[in-house]
Amino acid sequence: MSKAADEPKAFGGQTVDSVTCDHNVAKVAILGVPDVPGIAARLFSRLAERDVKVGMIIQSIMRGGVNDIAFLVRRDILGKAIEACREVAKEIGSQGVTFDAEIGRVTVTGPGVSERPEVPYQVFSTLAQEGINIDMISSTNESITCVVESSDVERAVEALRRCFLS
Amino acid sequence: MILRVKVPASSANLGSGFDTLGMALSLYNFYDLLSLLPSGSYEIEVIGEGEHELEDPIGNLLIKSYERAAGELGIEAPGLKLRCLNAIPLRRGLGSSSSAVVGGVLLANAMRDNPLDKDELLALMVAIEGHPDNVVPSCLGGMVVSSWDGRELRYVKLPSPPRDIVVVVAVPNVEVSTSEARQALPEQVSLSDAIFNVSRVALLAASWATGQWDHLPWAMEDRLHQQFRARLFPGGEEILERVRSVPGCLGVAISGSGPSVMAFARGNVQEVAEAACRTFMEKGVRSRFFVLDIDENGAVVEYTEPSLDKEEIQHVKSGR
Repeated sequence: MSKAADEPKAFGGQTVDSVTCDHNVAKVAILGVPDVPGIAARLFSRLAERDVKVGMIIQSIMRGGVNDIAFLVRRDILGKAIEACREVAKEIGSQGVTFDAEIGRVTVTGPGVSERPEVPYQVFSTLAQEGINIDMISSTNESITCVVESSDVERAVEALRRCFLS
Repeated sequence: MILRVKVPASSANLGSGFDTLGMALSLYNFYDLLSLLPSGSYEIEVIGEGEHELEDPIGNLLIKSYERAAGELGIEAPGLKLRCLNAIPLRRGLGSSSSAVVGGVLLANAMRDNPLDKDELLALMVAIEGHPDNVVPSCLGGMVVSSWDGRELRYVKLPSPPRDIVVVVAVPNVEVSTSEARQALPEQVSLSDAIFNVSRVALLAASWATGQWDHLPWAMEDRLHQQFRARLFPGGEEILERVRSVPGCLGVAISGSGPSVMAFARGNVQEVAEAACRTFMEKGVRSRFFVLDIDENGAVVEYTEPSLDKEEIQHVKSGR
């Protein structure tokens, strides 16, 4: 991978321990959720009742009195999530629910990765140089996860491994 | 907010029912009237679909429909400050333009001293839109058979299907304009193709009316428009066959003039959706999908505080 002269060098194993991927994910987005307390609780309690584990919950900035709420579920139980989300979307008077199963997630893991500003920068610039669009981003102290199109997952993993682990 | 007009998406040209059959779907645009302005003044905020292209009142179909309806209904139309919360994808065959026509006419109707019933406004909506199979279900809800000769409208709203029949809609990240889709059609069709469609669409309406759902896959077949429009978007020529073969699929069609594809599913919802989205993906096109019900209520006007808002409308109209 070519690098501009002013870019930081890859960090090797000192910061990043692993680059992994997961194809078993799908995205759910509930559109136009009224911005009142208790709505998110109702949605996620319904999913919990159906034993649908969720991750990477993102709420958009409230505009016009509504938000969109997006999250990931396991693709192999998407059917259960569809049923539960449709029920709640109808009850709360949202505008609709949309689903995307053509995604995967790529995770860069290591001690304190998200506290080192150069690491997220390297992740995003590496994917950008590959022409890979990032659909969702989340981070913890020890990981940075990007959701990308499923057909881009392998290429993203290879590029990030070249960047951090070679 | 003075009032909200909630308008559903719609899927029309359903298989064999070209320009005739359409249904309202449980995906909605909200048109919020925030305040009244002097006549001819408009402020539009768009959130969601079309937020970077629909905010100019000039050419905005919601405003054009509002002004035309006000003229036809013989009312002095105040200007509007509107917030549009749009969830219906644009130019994907899901009736986004029809929702704007329905919304604009209902906004004008709300300015009347005695608003008309929705069915009294249908002919005007169809005249603005140019064809009936999106606006009629979008306004009334349900699955509707419509016939329009350019002046007179006849329609029949069919009964609701069982709750376990859902509508799966795959929406690719490409656009097809309605005018381009019209141009793709031949000027003439063969008698055998015309007979093929007449038999299918009659069976479709009869089967739907009597709840004989097993006929749907056969009755939705078409030879008038889909094979021409399928060429206008990636995957179009393979997708109908692939989705139709999924167990639980009760019929599949190009939604509107495309590029979205809709299917009725009874069970196996995820498999039906993924078969459609996988076809788009194989052609290098991103897609997402919706799992929708047939909306039975159609467009709804909700006043936040009815008495107060009627007074405000009167106040602005009388120029006091």
